[in-house]
Amino acid sequence: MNSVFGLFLILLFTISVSSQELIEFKTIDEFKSIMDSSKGKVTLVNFWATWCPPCVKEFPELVKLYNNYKDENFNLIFVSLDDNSEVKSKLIPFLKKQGVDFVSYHADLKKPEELIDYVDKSWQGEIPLTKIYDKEGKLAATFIGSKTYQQFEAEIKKILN
Amino acid sequence: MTKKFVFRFFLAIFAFTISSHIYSSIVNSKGPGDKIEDFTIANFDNKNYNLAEALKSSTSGVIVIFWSSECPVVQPYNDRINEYAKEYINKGFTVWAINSNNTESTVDVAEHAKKNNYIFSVLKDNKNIVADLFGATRTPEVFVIGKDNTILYHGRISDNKVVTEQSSHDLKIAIDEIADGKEVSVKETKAFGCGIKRVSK
Repeated sequence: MNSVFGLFLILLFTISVSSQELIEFKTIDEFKSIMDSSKGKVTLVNFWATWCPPCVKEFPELVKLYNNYKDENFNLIFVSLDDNSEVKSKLIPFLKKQGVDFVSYHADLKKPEELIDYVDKSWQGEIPLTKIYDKEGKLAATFIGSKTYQQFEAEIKKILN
Repeated sequence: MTKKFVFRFFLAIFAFTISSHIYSSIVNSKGPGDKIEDFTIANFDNKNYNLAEALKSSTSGVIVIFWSSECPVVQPYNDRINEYAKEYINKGFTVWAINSNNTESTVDVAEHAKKNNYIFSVLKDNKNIVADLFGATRTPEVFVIGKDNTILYHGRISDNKVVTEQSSHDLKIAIDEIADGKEVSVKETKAFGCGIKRVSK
C-alpha cells in the first residue's frame, strides 16, 4: 500500500515538474509579472521559435550561459513564439533535447503586436531578439539576430560586475 | 566657464546614455509618411525594376513585400499569395516580392519563384541594398508606396500566416482604402517573422 502511495507521489511530482518547465502566458500583464518576478537579478530575455533557424542556432549557447551563471544572480527567460499547434509536437521535444530543466515560457497572445510594442516600440517582430536587463530592471543591451556565447557572456559579465 | 561646464556635463550624460544601452544592429525602419529613395534592381530575369518608373506606370502605387523562399512564416502564404496579388493588381498596384536574404542564392530565389508560379515579380536584392533603403527587418514585411512616393502602409499581410486562423487581411484593407481614394485607417501593423539575413558591411 505504502509503495503504491509512494509511486503516486513520484508520479505527481513528475507531472508537476514537467508542467512547470513550460508556462504559457496569454496577456501582457502576465508577461509583465514574469518580468517583475525577475527583478533583482540580471535578466536575459530571448524571443525565439523552433521554426526560426537562427534562434535554434543560438539556443544551446544560451542554455550554456544559464548553466554557467545561474548561481550568480542571473536569470534567463526563454519566450517561445511557436504556434499553439506545435507546442506538443515541436516545442516541448526541442526543450527536452536542449536540456532545458528550468522554467521557460510560451506566448499565446491574441494580438502579438502588443508584446512586440511592449518589449520595444522600434522592434518590427523579427526573431531572434534578446534583451538584457540589469538588476534594477533597466535595459542594458539588445541583440538582434543570432549571437554567440561570447557576445552574450561579455554583456552579462559587464552588468554582473 | 559656467557654459563650458554645463556643456561638458550634458555631453557626459549623453555619452553615458549612449553607452549604457548596447544595440547589436540598428536598422532605421521607414514607416507611413516617409519617402523612399529611388532604386533600380537589375534582376535575374534580365529586366531592370525601377521604383520611379513603376510608380509612374501604376494607377495606385507599388506594393513591396520582403519575401523569402525559406522562412516558415512566409511559406504558408504560398497557398494564397497569387490570389491576393491578383486583387492588388486589379486595384492598380504593381506588386514586387523582394528577397534580400544573403543566405538565399539568386538561383534558389529564381527556382522558388518558378515553382510557385507567382503572378508578380520576384526580385533579388543583392547585398540587401534595397532592404536598407526601407529599413526592412523581417519577412514577410510589406510597404505600400503611394503615387507620390510616400509610404501609405507598413506591416503585415494579415494577422495570421495560416489561412484558417486569419481574421484580418490588413494589407487588403489598406489597398482597398487607397484605391477608393481614402486615407488608410490602420497605417502600421506588426507581426513576428524571420529576420532578414544581411551581409556584413
